[in-house]
Amino acid sequence: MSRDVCILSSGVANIASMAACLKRLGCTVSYAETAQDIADAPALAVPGVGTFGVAMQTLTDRGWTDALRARILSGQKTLMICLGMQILCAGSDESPGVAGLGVIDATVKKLNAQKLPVPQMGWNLLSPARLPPALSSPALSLHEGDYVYFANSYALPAVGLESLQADDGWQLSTFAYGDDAAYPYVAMLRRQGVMACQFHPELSGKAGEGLIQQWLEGASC
Amino acid sequence: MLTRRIIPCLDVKNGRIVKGVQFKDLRDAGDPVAAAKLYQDQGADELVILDITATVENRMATLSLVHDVRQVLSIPLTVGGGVRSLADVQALLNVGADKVSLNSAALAQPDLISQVAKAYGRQCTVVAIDAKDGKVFTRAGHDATAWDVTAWAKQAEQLGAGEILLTSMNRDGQQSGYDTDLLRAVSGSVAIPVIASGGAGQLPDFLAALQAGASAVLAASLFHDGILSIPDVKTYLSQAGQEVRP
Repeated sequence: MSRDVCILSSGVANIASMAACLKRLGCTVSYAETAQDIADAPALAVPGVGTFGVAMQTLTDRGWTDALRARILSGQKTLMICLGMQILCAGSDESPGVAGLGVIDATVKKLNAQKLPVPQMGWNLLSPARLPPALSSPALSLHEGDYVYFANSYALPAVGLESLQADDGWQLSTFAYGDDAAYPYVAMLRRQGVMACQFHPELSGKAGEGLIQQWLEGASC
Repeated sequence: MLTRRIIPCLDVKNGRIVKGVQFKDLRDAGDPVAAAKLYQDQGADELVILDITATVENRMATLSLVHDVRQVLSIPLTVGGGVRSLADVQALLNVGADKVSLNSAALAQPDLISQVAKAYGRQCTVVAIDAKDGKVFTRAGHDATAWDVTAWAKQAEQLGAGEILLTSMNRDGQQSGYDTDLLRAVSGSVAIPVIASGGAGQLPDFLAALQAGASAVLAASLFHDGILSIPDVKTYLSQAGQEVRP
């Protein structure tokens, strides 16, 4: 099991929190400087804050987009956080017209929060149980009942993503925001060595550290 | 379901926790790193550190302190006090803050809120409001401004604030309850989360603040002095039907 983790710094993320979390888990932390670093890192963490458009522009400007997409498609050990998860998608209503990595053929939407505040700011439940039966995943029932920390105004609606699990091999877990539990959003996507979280595992106490530990110990392809 | 957040606040000066009554009479209340660890272990949902003096020399002490706290802290950390520029925000994020709280500088140059939100995202941009008799005060509560509290909260939201940290100066350190009228007015006029601050004294005060529209409740001396603990508050709120993180 590798304990060397490379952080992809966009320059505007809370990378100190990510680094401190990894160090508590016994990792040695380095920072990506080239596309080659992104391709070769035994484990890569992509913390994301800011906006969809700015994040994609930064990746494009640095020439990192292809290396990151290739790594995710091949299942190499990669942790994508918050906006990092969103950029897996084709696009986002936050930045219309900006193409994401396109690994997930879906569009990120503004939270439909009814009367609740936006951004969602705080601890919400990871709930595989809220998925339609076709999407529920026994492997993730481990985390049912874990509270994790979210800070987001946009998210990926889970409804309509059945083929992601059935055909593309992604495991999903969800969260609900607002009173309408029938309208879940994607909280976490996992496939091979890739773990993508809408929430912040690095800020989610023991539950979050446990998830990162699992990711570190999990298989990579 | 999103849970209600219980947030202990460390007011720091020269690297130590202090807590005054109505922003005066500062007294020492302990080591911030030890307190941060204790509150996290007790189930704090976030931590706020406010550098209440924020002179240039003190700023270095704060950066070092934030770094030290971050090493033990696996929950979100908001840091405020004397933040005047994007460079200040970057410096705090570099040492381990997740969110930065703007106060006096945002009043002096409201565009700073937009700049921070644009660069680091709305979720990173907290605007702290010190309220007294319906008006916004600046410079750690020293000077009155012409701003009505709800008008300034709306303006801050429009400029990009992701959260309002609303402190009632009238109630600060009084332990006579949060200002629920103020909370109701502000949370009713913005769509972003409002953190209640100032006045917590007894368990029902926390419930009253949440019922008045606060998304989170903050307290300092109550926790520092051991009058109530975070588990006390969570148990009470849970029994009162509020969702809290176990």
